[in-house]
Amino acid sequence: MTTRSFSLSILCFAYLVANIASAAQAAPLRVMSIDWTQTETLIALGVTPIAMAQKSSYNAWVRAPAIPSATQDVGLRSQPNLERLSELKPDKIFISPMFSSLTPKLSRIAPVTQITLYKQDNITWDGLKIFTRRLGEETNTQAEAETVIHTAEQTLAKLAQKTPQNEPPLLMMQFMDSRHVRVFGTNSMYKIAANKLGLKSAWNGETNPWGYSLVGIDQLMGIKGQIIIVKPIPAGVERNLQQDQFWQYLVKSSGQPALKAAPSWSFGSIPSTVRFAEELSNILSNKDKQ
Amino acid sequence: MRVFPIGFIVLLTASVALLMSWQLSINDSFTHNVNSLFQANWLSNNSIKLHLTWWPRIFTTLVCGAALAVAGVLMQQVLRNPLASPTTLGVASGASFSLMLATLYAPWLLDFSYSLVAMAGGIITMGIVFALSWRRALSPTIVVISGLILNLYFGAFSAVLLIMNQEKLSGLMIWGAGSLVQTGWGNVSYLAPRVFTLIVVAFLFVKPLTLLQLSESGAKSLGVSLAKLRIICLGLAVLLTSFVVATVGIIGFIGLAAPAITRLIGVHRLLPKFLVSMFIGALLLTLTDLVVQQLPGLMSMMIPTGAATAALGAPLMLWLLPKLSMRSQTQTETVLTRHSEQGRYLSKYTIWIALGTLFFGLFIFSSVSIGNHGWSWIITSGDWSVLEWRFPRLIAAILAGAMLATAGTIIQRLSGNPMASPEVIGISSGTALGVIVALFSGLGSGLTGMYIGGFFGAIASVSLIILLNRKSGFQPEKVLLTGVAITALMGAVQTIVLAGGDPRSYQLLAWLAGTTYYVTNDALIPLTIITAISLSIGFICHRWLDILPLGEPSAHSLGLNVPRSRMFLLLLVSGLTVSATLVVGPLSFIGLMAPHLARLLGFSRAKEHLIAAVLVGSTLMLFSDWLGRQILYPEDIPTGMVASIIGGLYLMWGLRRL
Repeated sequence: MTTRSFSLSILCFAYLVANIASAAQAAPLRVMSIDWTQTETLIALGVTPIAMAQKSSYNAWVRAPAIPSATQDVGLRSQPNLERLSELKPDKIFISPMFSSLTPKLSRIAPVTQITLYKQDNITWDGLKIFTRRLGEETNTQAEAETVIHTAEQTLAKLAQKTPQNEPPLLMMQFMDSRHVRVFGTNSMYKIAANKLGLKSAWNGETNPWGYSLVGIDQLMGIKGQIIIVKPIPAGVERNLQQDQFWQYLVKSSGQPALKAAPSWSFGSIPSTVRFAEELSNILSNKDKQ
Repeated sequence: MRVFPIGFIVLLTASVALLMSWQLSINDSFTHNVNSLFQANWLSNNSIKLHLTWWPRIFTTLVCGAALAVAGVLMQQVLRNPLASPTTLGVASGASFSLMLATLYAPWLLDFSYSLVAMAGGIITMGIVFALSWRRALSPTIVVISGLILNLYFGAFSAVLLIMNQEKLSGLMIWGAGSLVQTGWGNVSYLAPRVFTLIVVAFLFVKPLTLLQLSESGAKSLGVSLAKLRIICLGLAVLLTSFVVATVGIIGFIGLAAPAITRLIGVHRLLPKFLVSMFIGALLLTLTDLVVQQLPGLMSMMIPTGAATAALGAPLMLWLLPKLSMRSQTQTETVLTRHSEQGRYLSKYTIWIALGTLFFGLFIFSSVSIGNHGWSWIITSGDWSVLEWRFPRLIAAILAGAMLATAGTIIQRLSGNPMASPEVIGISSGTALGVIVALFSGLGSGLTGMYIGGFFGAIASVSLIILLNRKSGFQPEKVLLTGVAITALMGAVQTIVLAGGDPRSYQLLAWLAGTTYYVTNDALIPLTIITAISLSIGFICHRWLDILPLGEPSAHSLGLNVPRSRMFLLLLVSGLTVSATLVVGPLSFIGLMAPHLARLLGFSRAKEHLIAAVLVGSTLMLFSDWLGRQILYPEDIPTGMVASIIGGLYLMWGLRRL
């Protein structure tokens, strides 16, 4: 009995101390987002999300900025584990409209803030800035948001100077299988990155709200431009392309050898855009050495 | 109405020729364009495009269409089931599954050979089907059921992989939708000789197959080795399908539609049936593909032909259905009739034990779970708040299991077809279609929008089923075929959506997989009331369910108004399915399996069958929901998938004992 009440009083004491300590330095907001684009931006703002969805897939597809080790995995983006999330006691949950059907459930755990980024005509540099500032306001990191934007603009300006300016427009695509690509154009972060470097996108066809169009490579005929293949390239595709008469013809008629770019999150925000711009500038300046 | 076969083929050929010449007369002179078939003019973009993409595409569609049609005829002939098609035996889903596994875990295999991986998957699946039905001398029913189980099994596993790795598998989605984009003559020169050889071999078997058509015993007495014949013919069909599936992807409906249309236009002898189906299959696929290429802008790029054939084929099937003359199903030996002699009675005692188990399970499964700090038991951890999340899901799982089991039992008894389930008659699919429309048209991405969309979809499909089948007195086969058509339509729309890679499809996929995740507390009370009411109605009707499987004449002579009782039961099944689907997604696996399992346990009289199915269904769902939340914690595996993975294993084991 005595040991028990003793340990209890120690617990109470520890709790009091912890409370005083946290009141003293205004504990950071416990926030999380289901959406990778928002998670990416949060981390760039210096906020450590307490949780995120599909950590391992984020590491495979978004890669940078790296996830702090304190961030917990709550499972699928479409079905975050509610039990785990409620145990983590977040103060605020961010979602994108894609997951808006989760709002009623999530708002029982913490207030839900819905922030839209990817929709038609919204993906411009200004759109990305607005998105970043909004997340900054929501997490009390307005100053950090300005720094992120400022640094990004500086980096992009520097990259633009380094990048050869006499380049043809870029035909940026990601292979789905040997015959189908997502070709990126208006409303994509790839196009923003290219424009910021002073380059144009060669795809002027329609694109969906996520900035791409899924086409067979037969649709790429007659488009003049530097072909940029965004990795990852699915297994077996490279071998098939080497034997594919039509692809060989496409590359030949584009007048330039196709270039490969390291993977970036295709539906990302400022961090992904800057990362892709760096990669783009890099491969274009080293093109002759390849 | 009977369309003359020659007239129909001429019409098809004419439309293909017309569209071809129309597309050939664009951009350049007709003769130049035709010449590009043989020799490309390397200075003209147009000529190169025709030579390397347009012409190979025409030939690929012709070859694939013919191959699938022949495969369909072979399967329908051997299995004597108008619903059999290359996809029925699990070949397509086996191939798709093996590609998925290779993409995720052994990409070097794909570097080695894409087609070989797909083909291995298809052939292994077929091998398993044969192994499961071997002891029953490959009886048609058992083969179809085995194929169906494997289909569901691979489907469930694939969906789990897909949900976990959507980005990585997006390319496979396009393949699954059957895009016929060609970039060179590689596919044609690969497919043509193989398909041609197989078709020639198939023709050698026309004579023994004709004997099989007479009757099983007749064929046996004439000295035809049934098992051997079935293996060879099904093997041929599998190879044909695998070649097509491996090179261009899943094009499902041709294999079902071409033979059906052939039968419809009055061709019954086997040899002409082969030839006519082949032509119809080839022309149908080519026509669809030409039309798809004609679509403007983004549409033509986003709608793969394999999905389009299904989307176009479904209305065609629906239109043809009322004209389809069905031979009676006396030939079809079903699992149902096998056991009816030795009905086992359920004692009150057993029911109490089963109910007790259910409640004990509910207690255990709601209190034990993995949490943030590993395994925990609520009683000791005292963390009661998690029940708020857990309880609605478990209750909903039980209720949905009970409703789907009842619906499945009724529909299987009603149709005497062991393949029947609420999904097969198309109600779940109609609901899902409504939800897809609601999600993607922007009418409502929220829960209410999904519900309203789903409800309208369900009502529409039920009305369609009633409208098309009222005249025939709700003949079971026709009801099933209506369902197949609606399901195909839903499948097509779903594949198109998934192949487009729209990130919203994520949410859709999760819902389609059948999860209790979205259930809220508020939904539980109406759900309980609906379950109680519809289950009681089901039990009140149990006498009908005993009488109806005896066949229409006997049922009639026992004083039953057959069409009216069928229609009533159909409405009841619809109601059950709609409520279950709206809340927990189209979890049809339970509707198929619970009645099967109940029967394998020996309960074959309607009342016992119903009770046992409900208990089996609820328990299975309860356990599945719990297990799905533990296996890959913190990721959720949808309840429906876990249920079908568990139930499928049991069913396979049970099949071997049949």
